[in-house]
Order: sequence, then C-alpha cells, then structure tokens
Amino acid sequence: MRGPPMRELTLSKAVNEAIAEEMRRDPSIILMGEDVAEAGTPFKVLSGLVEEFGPERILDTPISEPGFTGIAVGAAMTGMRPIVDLMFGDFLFLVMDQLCNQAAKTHYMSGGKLSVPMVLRTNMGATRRSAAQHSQSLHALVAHIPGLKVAMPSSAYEAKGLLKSAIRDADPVVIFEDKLMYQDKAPVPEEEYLLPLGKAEILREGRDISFVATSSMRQVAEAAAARLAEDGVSAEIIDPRTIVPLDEETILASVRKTGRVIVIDEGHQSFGVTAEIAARIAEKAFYHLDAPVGRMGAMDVPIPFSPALEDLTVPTPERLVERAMASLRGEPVHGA
Amino acid sequence: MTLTDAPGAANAKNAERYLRLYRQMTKIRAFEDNANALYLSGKMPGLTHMYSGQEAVAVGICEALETRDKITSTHRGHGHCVAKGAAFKEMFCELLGKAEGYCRGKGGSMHIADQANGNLGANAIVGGSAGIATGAGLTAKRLGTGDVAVCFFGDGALGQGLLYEVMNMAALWSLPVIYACENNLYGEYTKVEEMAAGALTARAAAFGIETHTVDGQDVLAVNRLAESLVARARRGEGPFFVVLETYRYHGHHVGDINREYYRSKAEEAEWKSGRDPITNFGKWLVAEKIATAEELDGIGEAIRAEAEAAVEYALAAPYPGAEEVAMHIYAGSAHA
Amino acid sequence: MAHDVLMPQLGMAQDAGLIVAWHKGPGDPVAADDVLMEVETDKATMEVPAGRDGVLATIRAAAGEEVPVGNVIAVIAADAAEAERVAGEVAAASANDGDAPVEAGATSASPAPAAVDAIAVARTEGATAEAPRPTGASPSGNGTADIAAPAADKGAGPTGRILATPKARRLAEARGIDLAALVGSGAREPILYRAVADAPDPGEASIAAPVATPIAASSALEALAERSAFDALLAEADPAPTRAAALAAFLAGAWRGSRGADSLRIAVQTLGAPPLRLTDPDRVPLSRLGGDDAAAGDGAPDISLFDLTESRLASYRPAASGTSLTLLGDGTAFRLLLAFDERTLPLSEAAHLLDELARRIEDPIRQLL
Repeated sequence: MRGPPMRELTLSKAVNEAIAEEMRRDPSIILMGEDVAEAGTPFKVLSGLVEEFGPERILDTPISEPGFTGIAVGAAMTGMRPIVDLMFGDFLFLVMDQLCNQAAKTHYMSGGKLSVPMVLRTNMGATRRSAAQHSQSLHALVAHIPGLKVAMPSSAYEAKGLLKSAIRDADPVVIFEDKLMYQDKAPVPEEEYLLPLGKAEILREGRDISFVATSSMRQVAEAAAARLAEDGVSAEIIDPRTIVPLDEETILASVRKTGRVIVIDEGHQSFGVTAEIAARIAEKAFYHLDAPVGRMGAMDVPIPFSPALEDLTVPTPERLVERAMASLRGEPVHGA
Repeated sequence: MTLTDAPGAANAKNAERYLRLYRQMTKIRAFEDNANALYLSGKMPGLTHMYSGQEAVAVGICEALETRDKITSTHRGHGHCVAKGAAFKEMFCELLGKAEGYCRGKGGSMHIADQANGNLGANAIVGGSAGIATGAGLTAKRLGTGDVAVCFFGDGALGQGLLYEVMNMAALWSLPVIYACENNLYGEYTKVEEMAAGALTARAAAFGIETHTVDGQDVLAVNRLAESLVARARRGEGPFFVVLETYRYHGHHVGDINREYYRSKAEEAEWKSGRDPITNFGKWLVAEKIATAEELDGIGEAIRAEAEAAVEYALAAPYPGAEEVAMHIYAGSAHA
Repeated sequence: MAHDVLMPQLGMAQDAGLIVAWHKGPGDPVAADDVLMEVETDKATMEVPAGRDGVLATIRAAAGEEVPVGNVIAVIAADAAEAERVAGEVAAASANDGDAPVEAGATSASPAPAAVDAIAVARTEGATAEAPRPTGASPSGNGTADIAAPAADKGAGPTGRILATPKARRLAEARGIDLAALVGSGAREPILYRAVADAPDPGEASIAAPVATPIAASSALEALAERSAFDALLAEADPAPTRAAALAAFLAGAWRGSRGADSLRIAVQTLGAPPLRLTDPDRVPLSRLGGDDAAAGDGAPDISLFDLTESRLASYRPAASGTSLTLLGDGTAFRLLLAFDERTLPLSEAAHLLDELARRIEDPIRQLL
C-alpha cells in the first residue's frame, strides 16, 4: 500500500493537498468559512488555496457559523459540493440546527429525492491550553444523528485519503481533525489515493489485547503498545477511521482474537464513542471476552485552562498501560 | 377591492395568465379545505397548518418563477407547494404518509418537497430554510444558471438570527434571492407587534437590501412585483426583501379553535368577507370580462372534484413497506 | 446455536398458555413453518409454528401443562449433533440434582417440571448412560483438591455465582469442564480463558471418581537409589541446576514414562531455598532448569517433591492425601519416600513410578533418552 520510499507531509499540508486536488478535479467544489482565504485559517491549513482558486471558490464568510453552514446546505442541495470550514469544533453547538435538522435529514425527509453532498471540516483535541470553549472533542454529538457521516483521521495519511472520499461522498460528512496533530508528519504517497469511509485499519497486529483508538488516541495506543511489548504483551491497534459508518467487523474480529479490548477516544467518556463501541462489542462478541470491555475517554469535566489540570483530563499512554495490565491480569473492574 | 392592474390591461393575450392565477389560488383553497377535513375527521396523522387566506402570496410569486427556479417553504407550506406546480395526488399521499407521496410518506405536511418543480422543501424549524434558499442563490451565481431562489417565511421567522446572517451574506455577495416575508399578523399565537420591534423592512434595509411592501391579498400586485424582482435578480441585482401583508384564516394549526385570546372573530370576518384574494380576483375577472361568474364557478367545481378524487385515491393508497424505514438515510445505501 | 422456544403471547391479556399437544417430538427435524404445538389461551386453541428450521432437541413442558408467557418450553437445535448435546446436558443436569436445566444467563424463568427428563432425546450412538457431570463438590481429580478449600466455600461473590469471563465460560461449556471444580482445585476468580484451556479433560477427572471403597487416605512406598551417576551428571551441566530441580526433572520423566501425561506441574521444596513450581521440567535441558523455561504458572501441582537430602532429617509423613515424594540422603544413596492416595494413584502405578525414578537416578541415561 504505502510503497517505499515515501515523502512525509504534515497533517495540515495533507488536508491542503486533498482540497486542492479535489477542487482542480471538480469545479462544483467551493470552500467557505471564517478567514479561509488570505488568512488560510488560524492553523494555516488552507494557505495558498485562494491564490490558486480565487475568492469566488474560497469564500471568506462573516463570523456567522449557522449562516454559512445553512448556505452550504442549500448550495449542496442544488448542485454544489461545498466544504465548510468550522474554525473550532466547539462552534458545532452554533450550527446544530443547520447540520442536524437540515443537512442530516434532507435526504431522508425527501424520500431520497434531495441530497446534501457537503463536507464540514472542523477540529477537536485538548492540551492546547485553549480552555473550555476551544478544546472540546464533540464528534459523538454529531455521530448520534442519523444521516451524517463522521470521519476522524489519525494521521496525515488518513486525513488526506478520508477528506478526498468525503468530498466525493453524496452525504454530509463531518471530519474532525485533531488540532494538535496539524504539524505531525506521516508518510503520504505522491500518487492519488482515497480511503473509503467505513473501513477500519489494523495499525498494529497483536495477540493479547485490542486497542480501538480514534484520531490522536492512535498515538496514545501506539506508545502504550510499545511499552507493553517490552513486557512481552502484544497489543493490537484498530483505527476505525470513521465512526459513522463504523467498521464493526474489523473491531469484532480483533476482539474475538484477543479476548480483551480497551476503546480509547478523546470525547467525554460518558454517553460517547467509547460507550457505543463498547456496547457493540458486548452485544456481538460477548462470548469471546476474557475481560470486561475497557474504555478511556476524556474526563467528564469542561476542559480546564491550567496545564496542570488539563493534562489530567485526557487519556495517556501511562494510564492505558495500567488499564491494559489490569485487563490482562483479570482484575475485575466492576461488579466483581 | 384594490386589484392594481390598470383597467383594460386584461386583453386576450393575458386572459389565460389571469385565469391561471385564479385556478392556482382556487387549487390551494380546495387543497386546504380537504386537508382540514381530513385532519378533523381523524384520517390524517400528525399536525398541520393551513395556508387558506394567503393564496395570493404563493401564487403571485410562483407564477413569476420558472420551474427551474427554487423555493424554500415553511411549516405552512401546502400553498407554496401547489403554487410551484405540485399535483394533488402526490401531495395528499404525502400528507397521509403513503408510499406515493412526494417524499414517500417520510416528510408529511411539514416537510413536503417537490424537487422536480424546484421546491426544496417545507421546513418545520421557523426560519430554518433561510440558509438553504440563500445557498440555492449561491449555486445559481457560481454556476451562472440565472436561476432565482425565493425564501418564503413568516413574520415569526424575523426572530431568528439565521435570517440576518444569511441576508448579510446574500447582500455581500449579491445573490439572486428574494426573501418573501409573509406577514399574516401572528407568529403562532402572538401578534407581530409584540414580537418584532421597529419596521420589518428596516431589518433588511440595514444590509443595504432593496425592500418592498405589498398587499398580499392582491394577486396582481404581488405578481407584478415578483415579475420585476425576479427579472432583476436574474440580472444580478439581488437580493430583495418583500413584506407581503396577508392573513391566515385558520388558527396557527388545525385544532387551534379557541383563539379569541389573541385575535377577534370580528377581525377574521373582516378579512374573509372584504379581503379574500380569490373572491376579489374573481370579481375583477368578471368585471374585466375575462370570465363569467358561471365560468369561475365551473372552475371551482372542477378543482374541488379533482381534490376530492385525489383524497379518495390517497386514502386507498398503500403505506410504504417496513423495509423503507431504513432507506434514504444515506445516499445510495438502503441501510444505515 | 440452539434456540429456545418460548411460550408465546397470543392474546392481549394473556399471561400463560396451556399446552394442548406437541406435534413434534424430541429428535424430529422441524421447519420454521411446521406446527410445533397447540396452545390454548383464554381465547382459543392455536397452532404455533416452530419459527425456525432445526431439530427439536428437548421439550420442557409436557402437554397438559400451563406455562407462563415467555418461559422456555422447548429447545430447537441447529442440527442433530447439537440436539444430542443439548439433550445430553438436560439429562445430565437432571440426573445430578433433579432440577430443570438452567442455561447460562437464564433469568427468572420458572423451572420446567422434572417430568420432561423422560422425553429428552436419546443418543443414537448407544452411549445412553450419561456419566454425571462433575459438580461443585466433586474432587478435581488428581489428588490436589485437598489443598484448596471446598468449592462451596469459594463460590465467590455474594450471589454464589462463580466469576468467569464469557470466553472462559464458553470454553468450559465446550469442553464439559465444571467451573466450580476448577475453583475447588485452586483456580483464581474470575476464571480466565487460560485457566480453562489448561485444565485437564473431564475424562481424566473421571479416573478419580470413586469406583471402590477407599483403601487408605495415604499410602507409602519407599525405595533406595545409588546417587553417584546422578551427582556426576549434575556436575557436568553448565550452569548446574539445583539438585531439587534436577530431581524434579527426573520425577517428571519417570511419571511420564510410567503413566504418561500431557503436562506435569511439580511443586518443589528444599530447606534453605524458596519453593519452586515447575511445568514439564523433563522437557527442558538440565542447564536451563534455572531459567524461566520450566517455570509454572498458577494451578495445582500434580505432585510435590520435598528434597531433604542435605539435612539431618530422617523421615517425613505428609498429612495431606495428595501425591508427594520426599528425598532423604545418606551419602551414597537417596532414600525415596512416595506418599499417595490410592483413590487417585493406584498402588501398581505408584510402584512403577517410584521404581522407574530410582532406576533413572542410578542410570541417568534412562532419563536422557
């Protein structure tokens, strides 16, 4: 797949490339959001696009998130393929009606006659010292709404391949990029490639325990797996890549093999992605479990500003190693 | 009677156009009379909002549009749907949740959409379609189609921030959108003066949008204004904002019977007897010798018979199969 | 997967149904649309289809009985083989405690009457007399049950339910291993998959089942063995293992040579060194006995070895009824004392074992081959 030798790109550049390639291919694609043109967004993800595609296709909007999201819905329904840039994932709360009542339901409510082929790109991730309104990981909120697809790239490679698929998809897709990974590099092929929505990837094969890790939690899982390997424990890592649709089969197959699993996701733990995946495992692979399904999410607190506090709220490799060892020792976590 | 086409304007060339205005308004009234009866007799599920009394607005505007032009509609949307060219059978089927409905029974009264005729759908969120209509305008401008989008909304939607966000962008980007504010004097159960401060048109004027106010009971006045604005919007002179002064004959929804606490029966009687758009336009047609009273009666009879036949058809039509419940969530796949 | 047939809800206010007649019997193949039985409710008598294809494995409520809605009244298996297994379990469970079979995870369904025993499907292979499955109170089979408290006391948790992971339970069911017996033999709760996988087959357990009146709780045999050849062998190994570990390897070799075994765990004790547990030490080169290659995990030992050769001690009589070997030294020979329970290790086998061990010590080539 990833043939050697391969150049390395930052996640930020991979996103930029995906958009540029798709916009060259399809003139119906437009991009809109706050400071997306000359400014190229605060994270400089979109730098250079307006120079190539002009202000007619890279639209700087007023600070009106519901407004430009709604306009994107209408444009998508009538023949465009808009990419909406939502500067921070926290602003999802502002656009909920347009995203969840309009974009998500239009295809269904119209009996399949209308479609909303749009992409909403936004971000997630704490530990950037941005406090409670610029640090949330709200993908579970969106994943709860039928009609939306939700992608969570775990590196530059996934970011590019998933975004290109999302742009070509006939449904509204929300992509969460972890803003702490924008400068992280990963091998990205020169040649064009797409990663399908709804297909998980086994990032590391293992025997003793499975980690299902979304987005940047992949890095946590990889660090933990490396440490466990020193003790002879072999951990398998699954990156779901998209949580809607969710590649249940790959996850279940891994759990059936190892008998143990911990789900790691940066959303708040309660009522979130870890709960959903854990429940599906319990429903569909129960008789293969040799330990309770473990899960690690962000603490159920608003993200605090102080670095001393913020770092406590997210899963870490150390805590994951502890949880994995407890699982391997057969320590009953609950209900014993 | 304030019909505003100059005496003598009704020549033979225009006769068919005038009769069509009459027929379309009569169709809306007949549709609503039947829908009301269906609901009250317990044959129609859910909730519904009658358009009766406001026919001149929908017909006056939609008769100025071509099929390819787009409209967005509201929870009080049957009138817009009929005026944009929808057929009785598919509409009644939709209202009754039948498989042959425009949305295969998945939308119902509040979400009826008719893509083939450019109706992007009714919307059960007050003001919720403002973004969609504006997005349709953006598409028209980007693709250079010359299409126009009309956003129908009631005075109640003036309370929604989304409207101001998208009007701002429509003005910034000179989009071909006509914001049609149907002021029927009440937002749900409350007078407009109690909810909207200042002049209604001043809201749009603040964005530099050209505004108009017109008698929404005078189909000729509405139609003439609409013809002019649509033509100008096609030339890139949009957007426009129009307040159409009108009146809803029924309560907020079918079943809103005891409404004296917010409006008097005398007021209702005055609008119905003195300002009915169909009656007055009929008198004008007779006075202009375009049709005789008997001919108009004949038109009414034929349309009522057509509506009743459509109701009978819809009542007997099959519901969608259970397999459809999980269809149309995502494009191209039957299941979630 | 076997499918439970439940008493169906056939009327709005119905809370039980009377089984009028069964149209199929145990062992009959059924199709989903076949009429399985007739049920009478307050309204009428209705013919109830099987609902799925398979083989009717067992009927749990006889005609004439009134059964609450939702209770299991029959089990349809996927095929004949599964039907036999299900029926076998029914028979075994019934024989054990006279109670109706209760599935893992069964909730409050009231027990079906014992009368259904008679209509459990008969095995076609002729093995009609089912051996009772081991229950929580049975010994674990290799003479080590005494080292753990009785299972009844260990039935962990306030519910008395044995804690085991779903994967472990599934394997235990497939292998016919009784979890209570595992706990009784010292397995830690929650029981994990590995503990079940490592457990001996229940067939081995049946060897331990009392077939005759016990002769004695603890019998003893004694042997003498020249030790010079053994000592020379030990001195050549580099690094040299402890004598106790090497003796354990010889003991394992003798056990396997005289009685056979898949896997052997030996508990080793000496004076002045921490106790040691080894698995199959005879399969590891002597020079590596000190490493992890033969280290044993948890689990009860098959035999205990007590090396007292460098001490002033002259004798040892174990109180427990397991199998234990004590070595005493007088300079040129080892004195080997084997204590064993004839219920688990018959005299003839014990004698062969001890004799073989003594021969191997005197002539280590027997061990190395």
